[in-house]
Amino acid sequence: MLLWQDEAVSTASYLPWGWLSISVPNLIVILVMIALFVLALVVPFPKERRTPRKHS
Amino acid sequence: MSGTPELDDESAPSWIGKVRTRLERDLPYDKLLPETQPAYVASWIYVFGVGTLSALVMIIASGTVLAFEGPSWYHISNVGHFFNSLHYWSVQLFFLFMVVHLLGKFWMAAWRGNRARTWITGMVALIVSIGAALTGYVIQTNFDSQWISFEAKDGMNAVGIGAWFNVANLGQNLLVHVFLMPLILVVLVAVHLVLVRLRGVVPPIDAAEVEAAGGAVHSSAPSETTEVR
Amino acid sequence: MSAMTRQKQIEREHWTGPVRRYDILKEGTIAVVVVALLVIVLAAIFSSPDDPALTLKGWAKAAPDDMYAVTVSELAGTSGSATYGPPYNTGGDGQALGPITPQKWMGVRQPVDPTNDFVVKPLESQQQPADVAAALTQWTSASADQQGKWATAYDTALNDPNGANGDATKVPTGDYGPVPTMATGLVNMAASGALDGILAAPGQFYNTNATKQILFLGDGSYLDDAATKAHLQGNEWGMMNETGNFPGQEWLQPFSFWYQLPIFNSSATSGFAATLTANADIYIFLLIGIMMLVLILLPFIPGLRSIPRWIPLHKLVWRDYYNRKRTTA
Repeated sequence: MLLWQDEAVSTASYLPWGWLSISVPNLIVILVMIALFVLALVVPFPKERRTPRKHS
Repeated sequence: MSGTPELDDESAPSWIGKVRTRLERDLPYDKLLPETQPAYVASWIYVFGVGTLSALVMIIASGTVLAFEGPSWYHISNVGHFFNSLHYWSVQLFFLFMVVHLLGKFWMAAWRGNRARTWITGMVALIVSIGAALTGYVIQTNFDSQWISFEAKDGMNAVGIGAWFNVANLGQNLLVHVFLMPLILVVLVAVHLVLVRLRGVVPPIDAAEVEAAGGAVHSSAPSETTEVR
Repeated sequence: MSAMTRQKQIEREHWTGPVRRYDILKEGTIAVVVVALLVIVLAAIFSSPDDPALTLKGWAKAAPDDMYAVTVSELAGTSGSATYGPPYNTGGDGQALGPITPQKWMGVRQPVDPTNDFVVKPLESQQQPADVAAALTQWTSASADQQGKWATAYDTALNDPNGANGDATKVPTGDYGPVPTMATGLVNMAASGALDGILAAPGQFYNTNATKQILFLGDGSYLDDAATKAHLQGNEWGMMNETGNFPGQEWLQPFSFWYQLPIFNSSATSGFAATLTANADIYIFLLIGIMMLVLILLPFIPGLRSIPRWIPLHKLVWRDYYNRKRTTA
């Protein structure tokens, strides 16, 4: 059935992997999430410039 | 204005006095607002908690503007649509950062050393956030909210929640979304943060091993060694 | 003291080992500014989804036959809403998990009477053409028994797969009373745009509850077809997806996942799979409830709480700290 001309519904591209079909924007967000997690673990954290102070 | 009033703490311990005594003991200012962190707090994974919090600040800020203009404003105003976009992307980042934060805390086993309550409040905050997002999605007054409330009602009804919480009732969801959900979430986040400060950042899983090998040494105060809370 | 006891002690105590400067207030401010900029850039570049709501007018224009058939089914009590059951009405029992039936237990708390709320009251709320007005009078002055007979007879004839099969012009003559005229009247009213503003609360000034519009719209195929077109159906991760080219509610993955499993999407009419499919929501909510409890109580669950020790990603997180061991030992 067609929608009434004034009520078109827009949609994203979908990757059809059987029942695991996923929209491209959702896939991007999931990949960004995994990338952020991996980068957070791997990228070196800047070293402190000053010498560590012993906590009183 | 001179000295402390004389009160017998032993005989009449007031509720507020008990709370103050406990806070002074467990959460002194240098623990609540520290200028240092343990040396092991040195990884980018630690920024995702504060990132989640920052996204929440943006959600509340953009949501406040949307609330002032009403639920249909953004359909007809370009400024409104931009604030809707700010709200939308804040929410996307909020969940993105929260999941990375959660993954980080899981792999650090951050519940060790009496920190289970921190983990629990965090998980409950995640679940409440999902509920808050749902109430937001069904008050969009567009095709999305029509479909989501039509679909979500079946789940809610099946478990009996739908009898009281009706996702197709715009007025109810609007009020719950802008008042109740943020209130619950902000309280949970506040408790979560206080618990983090109270217990401190969890030491590395192999801290004792490092110490035994002559690395960083943590000196146990005699009073603390037997303390079990 | 064993290494394990010492480890537990270190974890429990306030840390007195080496520290580094850390201005949480400054870092927090920087974080807020960075995230604010990020949000502004994302909003400016990508905007946000906002597909206009479907209207009853659109439904009447695009699919008048579908709306006609739905209206007849509302009068006959055979529509999705009419047979839904609690919390709207007593037309069905709702879902069950064995003997556990919370939907039924909670009772009718959001009353929706499809015959009157979707058809009769909206028609009565406006001045109708003479034939529709006469049909309404005939309907309202008839007994409930007579109303049911008319509506059921017409509903059956209209949907007879070997007869009219949905085509109102091919329905054989019979005793249908005012039913066909009322249905035509409602479709015409919807096509004029009048029904959209009236359905929720006929005769009322304010309306803040869209339950009736949503249920009536959902009884037809118009909303469902639009959702299918936008890939929003439950069996294709619908709740997670979004209209337009946008990410949706990915955080619903743990919910949506279960609806994808064939066992909850079965076409079987009997047996275990049929039971699960018919009662998918309550079973899936139970599974989700268990999952939530497991996540909340993870620190106390043996095995699960030890995974971070077995798969030592923590060596990456704290690699600088662990390296001190080598340099100082």
